[in-house]
Amino acid sequence: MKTLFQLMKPDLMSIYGINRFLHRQKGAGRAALRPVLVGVAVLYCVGIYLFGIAELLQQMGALDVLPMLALALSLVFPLITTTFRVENVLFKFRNQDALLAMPIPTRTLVASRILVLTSFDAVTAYLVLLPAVAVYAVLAQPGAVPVLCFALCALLSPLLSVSISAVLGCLLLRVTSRFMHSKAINIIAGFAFFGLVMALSFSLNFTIAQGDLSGIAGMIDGLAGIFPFSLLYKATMGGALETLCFALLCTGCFALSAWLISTFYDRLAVLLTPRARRARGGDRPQAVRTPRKALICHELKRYFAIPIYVLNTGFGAILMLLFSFFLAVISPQKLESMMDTPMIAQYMQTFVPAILSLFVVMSSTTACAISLEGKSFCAMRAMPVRTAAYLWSKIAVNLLVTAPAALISAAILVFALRLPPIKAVAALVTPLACALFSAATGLYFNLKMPKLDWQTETAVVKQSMSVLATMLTGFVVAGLIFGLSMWTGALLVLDAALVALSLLVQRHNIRRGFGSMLAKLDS
Amino acid sequence: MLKIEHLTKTYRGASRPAVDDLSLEVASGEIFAFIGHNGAGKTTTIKAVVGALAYDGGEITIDGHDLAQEPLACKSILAYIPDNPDLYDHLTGWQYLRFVADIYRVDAETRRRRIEQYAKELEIYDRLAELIGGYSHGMKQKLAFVAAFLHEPKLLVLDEPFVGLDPKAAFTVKQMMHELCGRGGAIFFSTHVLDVAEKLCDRVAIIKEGRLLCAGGMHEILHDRSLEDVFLELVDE
Repeated sequence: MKTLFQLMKPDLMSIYGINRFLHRQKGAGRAALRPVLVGVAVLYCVGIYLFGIAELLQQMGALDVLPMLALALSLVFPLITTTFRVENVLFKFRNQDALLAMPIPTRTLVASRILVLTSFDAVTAYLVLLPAVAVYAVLAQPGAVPVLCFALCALLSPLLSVSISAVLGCLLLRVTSRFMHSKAINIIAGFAFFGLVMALSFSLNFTIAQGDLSGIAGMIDGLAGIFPFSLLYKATMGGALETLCFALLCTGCFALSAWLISTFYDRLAVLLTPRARRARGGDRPQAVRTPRKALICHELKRYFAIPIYVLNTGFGAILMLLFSFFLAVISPQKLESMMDTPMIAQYMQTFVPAILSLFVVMSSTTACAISLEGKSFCAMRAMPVRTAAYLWSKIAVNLLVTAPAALISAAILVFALRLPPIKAVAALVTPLACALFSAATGLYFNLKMPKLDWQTETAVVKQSMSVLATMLTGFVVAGLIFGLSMWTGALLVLDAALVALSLLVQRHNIRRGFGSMLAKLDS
Repeated sequence: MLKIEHLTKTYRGASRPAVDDLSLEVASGEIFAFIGHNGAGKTTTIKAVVGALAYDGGEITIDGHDLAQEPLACKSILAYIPDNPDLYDHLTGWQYLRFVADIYRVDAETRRRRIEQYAKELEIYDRLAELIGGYSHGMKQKLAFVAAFLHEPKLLVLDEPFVGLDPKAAFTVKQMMHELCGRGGAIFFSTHVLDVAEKLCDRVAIIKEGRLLCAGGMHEILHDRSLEDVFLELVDE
C-alpha cells in the first residue's frame, strides 16, 4: 500500500499542479483561487440543474431514485471517456521505463496507474455527485444514514467504473494493436461508442419530450432492478449492508482489474511501442511546399495522430452532420407528429444557426494546440517561422475540422427545412463566424494558460484550463445566438461582429506572441 | 558570426540571474565550446541565442543581424539541436525532414541530395520511413543532425550534441562540424565532455552561476594543462 501511494504521489502532484503551487513564490493565492472559483461555479451550475431534475422526480413521486440516477450517470459516463485514456495513462507515461526497471511488482504499478486514471475521472464524477448529495439531502430530508450511505457510494463509485474501463480499454488496445492504422481504428471505435450513447440518450429525451412519464417511471424501475443499480438503490436508501457490499464491489473490481491487466501488461506494452511502420509511397518524394502549407499539414498530422484530441474536438462536427442528416431524412411534418409538438419545424427554422453554432463551439482544436507542442515547442521557436504564420496554421486546422461539416449541415438543413433566403444566409454564415471566433479565442486562452510540461496528451486535451475557458466562452456566444435567433438581421450583425472580434483577438495573439507565455512558463 | 553582448536573463521568482552580463563572440570557421557545471546558465544562453527564450538585457547578433530586431533573418541562417531532441513522434523520419526543409525553403533537388548524403553518413537513411516515436535517443539525435544540416546553416548551435551518439556517429558528426566550419560556418555548443571540447574546439568559454569566468583560444587558456584541470580550478575558486 505504501509503494502504491509513493507511485501515485508524483503523478497526482503534477496532474493537478499541486507541487507547482506549493513551490510558487509570487501570486500563489491568486493561482489557487482561480481553480477553486471555477470549481465552485461548476458545482453551483450542476446543483441548479440537478435541483430542477429532483423537483421533476418529486412531482413523479420518485425522488428516492435521484441518488441512484446520479450514481448511474457517474458510473456510465467514464466508460466512454476513460476507455480511450487507457493507452496514455497505463502504457505511455513519461517515466514508464524507469519505473519498470525498479523493483516494483507489475500488479502494484498497474494498480497505481489505474488509480491515476481514476483521479482524472473522480473530479468530473464528484462535480455531479457532490451537488446530488446536497440536493437529495435538502429536498428529500431522508435523515443522516441514507445521506452518509449515498456519500460513501459516491466517493467509491469512480473506482468501479474506471476499473471496468481500464479492462475494456486494454482489450480494445489489444485488438487495435494488430492493425497498421490502430489510431484510426481507435478514433472510429470512439465515435461509434459516442454515437451509441447519444442514440440511447436521444431515445430517452424523446420519451421525456413525449411527456410519457409512465414510460420514464418504468425505465427507472427497470434500472433499479439491474445489478449493480439495484444494489445502489438499496444502499442509497440507507441500507448499511448494501453500502458495504457496494464498497466491497468497488474495491474488489479495482483489485481484480489490477491483477488481470498485470497478467498481460508487459506483452501489451511491447505491442504498443511505436512499431516499425514502413511508409507508403507518398512519404519519400520530397516535393516542396510553402512554409505556410507545411505548417498546416504538420498541424493536421498531429491532430489525427492523437485519438483523444480528435474524439474531443471532432465530436461536435460529427453530431452536427448526424443532426442535419436526421432532419433531412425525417420530414418536418413527421417530426412534428413524432414529437407531438406542433410548430416544431418553425422552431427549427428559427434556431438552425444557433444549433449549428453550439456544435461548432464544442469543436475548438486551438484551445490546446500550443500546449500539445510540449517540449518540442522550443525547437519550433528556433525555426524561421513568423508568429503569424504559426498561429494562423492552428486556426486553419480548426476551420478545416469545423467549416466543411458546418457548411454541409447548413446546406442540408436549408433544403430540408425550406429556409427562406435570409435565414439560409444566417444558417450558412453564423456557424462559420462561430468557428473563427472559437478558434481565435482558443488560441488566446492557450497562450494565456499554456501547459507544455504535460505527462500525457489527455492531461492537455481534457484538463486544460484553456479548453474549459474556450468552451465556456463559446457557450456564452451560442447563448447569444439563441437569444437573437428571432431577429435574423440582428443575427447577421452579430456574425459580422464575431468575425471582426475574432480578427482583433487574432491580431492581439500575434502581437503579443509568445513573450508573456514564455514569461509565465519561466515562473 | 555570433556576438553576445551583456546578455542578462533572470527567471521570474529566481533569486539570482541565470545569465548575468555575458559577452562573447564566435567567429566564422570556429568551433566554440561553452562549458560549465549543471545550472550554470548554458542552456539558458543557448535558448536565448536561438530565439527560443526572451532575454531581459543585452544584444545578440548573428551574421550582422540583431536577433531582437530581425529574428527571422537570424533563425533562417542558424540551426539548433536541443539537448534532448523531442522530435515529433507522430511523424516518420521522411515527414519530419520534409517539414524542416519546407520551413527553411530548401529546394527539391538540394533536399534530396543532402538527405541522402547526411542520412547515409549517419546510417539512418534506411530507417527514415519509420515513425520517430520508435527511434532510440541516438537515432533521434542523428535525425536532428540531418535536419540541422539540411539548409547548410551558417551557425550551428548545439546543446550537449554527443549524448546518445554511438562512437562512429560521433566521429561522423565531428567531421560534419569541421566541414561546416571549412565552408565558413561557425559552431557554438555546450558540453560536459571536456576531452571532446579540448580536441574539437578552437575556442572555449567557461561559465559559472551565469557569469563568464574566462573565454579565449584553447591554447591561450590551457597553457599545457588539460581543460579538465583548468575547468576544475576555475569553478572551485
